[in-house]
Amino acid sequence: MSLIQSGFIYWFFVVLLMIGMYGAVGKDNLVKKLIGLSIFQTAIILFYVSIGFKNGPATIPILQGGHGEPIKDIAAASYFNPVPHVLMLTAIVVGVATVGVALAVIQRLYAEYGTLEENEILDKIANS
Amino acid sequence: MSDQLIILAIIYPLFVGVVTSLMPCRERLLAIWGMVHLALANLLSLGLLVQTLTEHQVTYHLSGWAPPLGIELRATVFSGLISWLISAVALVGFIGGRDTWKDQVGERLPHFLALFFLLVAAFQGLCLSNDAFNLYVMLEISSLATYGLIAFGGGRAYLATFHYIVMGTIGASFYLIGVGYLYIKTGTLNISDLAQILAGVPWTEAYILALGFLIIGLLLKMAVFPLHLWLPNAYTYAPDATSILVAPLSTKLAVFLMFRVMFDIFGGVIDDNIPSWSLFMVLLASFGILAGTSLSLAQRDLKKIFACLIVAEAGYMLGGLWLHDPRGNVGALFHLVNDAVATLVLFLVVVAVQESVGGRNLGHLSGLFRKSPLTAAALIVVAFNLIGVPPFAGFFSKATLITGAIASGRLEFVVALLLASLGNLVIFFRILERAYFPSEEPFEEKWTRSKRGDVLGALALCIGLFLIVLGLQSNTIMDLFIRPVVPL
Amino acid sequence: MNLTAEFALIAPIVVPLLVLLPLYLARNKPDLRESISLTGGFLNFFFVLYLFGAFGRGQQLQWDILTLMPGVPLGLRVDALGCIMLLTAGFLWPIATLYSAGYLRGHKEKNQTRFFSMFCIAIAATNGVSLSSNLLTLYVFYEILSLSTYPLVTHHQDSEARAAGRRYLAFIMGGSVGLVLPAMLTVYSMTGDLTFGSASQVLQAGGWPSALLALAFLYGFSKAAVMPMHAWLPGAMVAPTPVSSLLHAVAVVKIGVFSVIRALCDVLGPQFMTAHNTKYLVTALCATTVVVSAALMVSQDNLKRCLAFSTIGQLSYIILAVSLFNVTGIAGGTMHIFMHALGKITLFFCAGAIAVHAHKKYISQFDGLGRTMPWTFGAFTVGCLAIIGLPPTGGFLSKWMIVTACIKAEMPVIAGLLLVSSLLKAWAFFPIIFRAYFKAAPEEEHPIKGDCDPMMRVPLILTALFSIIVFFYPYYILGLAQFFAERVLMGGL
Repeated sequence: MSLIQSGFIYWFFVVLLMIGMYGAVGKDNLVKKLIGLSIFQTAIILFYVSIGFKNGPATIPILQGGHGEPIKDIAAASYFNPVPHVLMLTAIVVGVATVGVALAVIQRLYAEYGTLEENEILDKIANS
Repeated sequence: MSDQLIILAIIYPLFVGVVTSLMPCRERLLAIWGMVHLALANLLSLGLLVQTLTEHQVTYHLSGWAPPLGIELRATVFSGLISWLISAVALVGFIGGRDTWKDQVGERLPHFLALFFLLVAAFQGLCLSNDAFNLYVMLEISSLATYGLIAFGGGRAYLATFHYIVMGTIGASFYLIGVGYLYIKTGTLNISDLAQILAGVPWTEAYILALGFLIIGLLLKMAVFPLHLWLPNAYTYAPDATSILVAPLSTKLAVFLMFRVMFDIFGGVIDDNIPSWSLFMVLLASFGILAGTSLSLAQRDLKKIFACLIVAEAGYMLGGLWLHDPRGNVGALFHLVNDAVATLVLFLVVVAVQESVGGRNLGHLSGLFRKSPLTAAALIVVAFNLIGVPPFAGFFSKATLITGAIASGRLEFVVALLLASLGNLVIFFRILERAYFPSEEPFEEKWTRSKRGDVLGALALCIGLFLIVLGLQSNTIMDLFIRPVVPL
Repeated sequence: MNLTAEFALIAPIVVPLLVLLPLYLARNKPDLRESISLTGGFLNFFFVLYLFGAFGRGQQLQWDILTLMPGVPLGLRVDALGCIMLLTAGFLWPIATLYSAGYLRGHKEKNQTRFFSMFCIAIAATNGVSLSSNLLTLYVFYEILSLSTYPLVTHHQDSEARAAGRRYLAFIMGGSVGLVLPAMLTVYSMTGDLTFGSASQVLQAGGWPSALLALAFLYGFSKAAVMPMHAWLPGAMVAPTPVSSLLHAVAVVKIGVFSVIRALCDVLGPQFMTAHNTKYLVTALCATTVVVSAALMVSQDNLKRCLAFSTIGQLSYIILAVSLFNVTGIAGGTMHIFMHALGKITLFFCAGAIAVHAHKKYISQFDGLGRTMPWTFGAFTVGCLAIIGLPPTGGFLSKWMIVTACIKAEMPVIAGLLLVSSLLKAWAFFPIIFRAYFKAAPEEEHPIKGDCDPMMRVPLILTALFSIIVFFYPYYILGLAQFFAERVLMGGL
């Protein structure tokens, strides 16, 4: 139990990863595959974001609360690590681009073969 | 100016690509535009190469931020060579593929070329970046551009692209997980910094896990058996103008990336810490070589034969990198260069053959020697290179790999390499026999000399003859570019 | 080393290649084209004689052109064995060119320019092998030879040629890539040096591996046609006879034997071979080949196939002699390279002349031809004597030395087997000569008049005559052979 408790986030990450991979590999419908892929990438994003988390009095790295409020102390210990968040901004963009390209290709596949099921497409190719 | 060469090598093609997407679809204009800019990119890379030879290492901090906070670019002698290789292959591929634009790309040519330039920029970034996460970004940019370029092929290319998207993204994501684990343990993403930190610590499960994820992700990108399923279809159904650029470089850069992970990040001491992995990897590579060669033997489409050979070549390089003996590593890196050039010639030959005989199935090939002797000559040259006949470069890379394997005691790799040479002999002589002997099938024999085919064949032949130079000077090239970066 | 010496050293390789361009330009003028070929041949022979003379005077000619692998250059060197091979190929190339011209024209063959061009490349590669100073350089030129002779073997471009070509490639490339390459690289990884003479000093002898290495070289150089790697040779007889004559009697197969001798003597070395009795294995395998091929020869009706099996036996003769590792053996074997080449090329020239002039390929058809074609069959008789090993031909001298060497090495059984094979050869050849001279010619619709074309006749008379001359004046070749034998057994360069 302690194994799961101490590494809870890793377990969560792995489960999500496997769900995504199952979708990408195990499903026949192209859109479902894409959704699986997306879940896969999201799992990784979640993993990275969780890296930045710190126990204890740590909060998001925002220096000034609102208009007129004083600037808080800049002590690294009191803020989460912002670097993984920043990295994941890039990764999210990459993910979006991938989904975009994949959807365009799926659209073309539908126009070409009239179906979104991979086994049917393969049948059509084999028979052509 | 010379400090900026390294960053210009990446952003110059990037900006050209952006501008290209806005240009009108006039073939002549775009051809000249592309050639001029690729020639300039070549000069930039050449300048960078010369700089690395004189200064041994060129670094650049993006926006002036020093690492490990900022992103750093680094060029060693070998990455300088690869950078120039990328530009050169792009230029030759551009010229070679130009004839196919009308039929295979059609009206969206500016967008095609924009993706082309984007891909070149991404390859350069992949070669020159010194930041682990930045490498992921470059990897994904190159993959996305490749997806687009392949999808232009229409018809069967769509499904091939989709499969490539799924497998490629999974691969790159594994790489990202690996980088994540490294970040957790070391807190830095800069490769030089990682190397320093990793050199001082004992290896725990987290490091091994990180290495594992990185390796598997890269195996997928390298198309090593059994993770190669995306490659044959993707490269065969892509437009010829795409395969000429993508096939020589894409998997080879993934090999280069694996080299950097193994040697630059983990310091080349993987064998000391986890010896069983080397055993497994070389075994996998040996299987991969045999699998790729067998796959290639089963094909009748010339382009697919060559695409399956790439799977076999990936095995050579994977095995070479994981051998104990440094000669194996040197052989693998030399094979990278040799194979990039050879694959370029192969795919140029495909275009030339299509021009000369009007098809690219084995059955179409008869009379090739009469219709386009230059294309036939180019085919002979590249065949000898892949079989491993001296004085071609292919022989020297194989010889170095075999010597390294014998010294490491990995006889299964030696056997696989020799069987692959003999397999290539069968594959290429089957093709050449069809071209040389008069056909027995009732295909119409039009013996008119194809001028266009000859021009393309001449281009392929020139690059092919360069392989002889590469071969005879292999020792000098290894001394200059490869041995300095491989730890002994 | 000065410039003229370097130039002379590389000339035998470069001169045949330089002939290529003029040959291509003269492709529509056959007489000019053949003259260019002949000029190249004479020039090549001139340089070979120069190198021979320089070697005889004791000059050390060596040139490392560039480094191919660490510690292994693309190196050229003249030594005794190389001289023998250079002289063989250099002397016979112009003669074969003249003969080929006659044959190709008589047979009205197509693609003659391609034929002569590939000939040039093959000769250049042969000279390259002869001049190699280390195993890697030898391997480079060996492969070039293999590939340049493929278009020659498949010259007719019909289905027979296709099958023969496939078998040729399978055995030759399979042997060199599958066996020689790993063996060579094993030696390289053990010693770091592939130079002839020096590797043998460092190589550690040892049971299993030593046998495997020796066998890899013996079978890998499949041009030497040791059984069972001989199967390509009879099939390659579908090629035009000039190809068979020069290449399969002289250049290709002799290079195979040459390479095996180099591997056994200069790479592995006498200590290595003697230490674990590996040499006896080689002797046994070669003896088997000698006997089996002689037996197979007797049953052949097609003259060229008969000669092919004879060649297979003679090649193993040479290797057997060398594997005895005594002075007489090595000297006799290497001398036999030259003697056998003369004899065999005469026989092939005659076979081709008979095919072109009389349109006959089968021995059973030769009745009475000896009287119609006296010069041809006279030369044929001399050739037969050379191959069987009877005086007054050079073949007798080398055979005598080989048999003596067997007895000196205390292997009378082997000597007996060799004599048995000679008897079998006599059994095969004498009936041919007998029928040709003494049986009546059968009735034919178009009887042949006179002997063959002078362009073919002169070469075969020349080679037959030379076979006899070297019986009386063998000193040059014998000297070279003995020098090589002593050098090998003494160790070092």
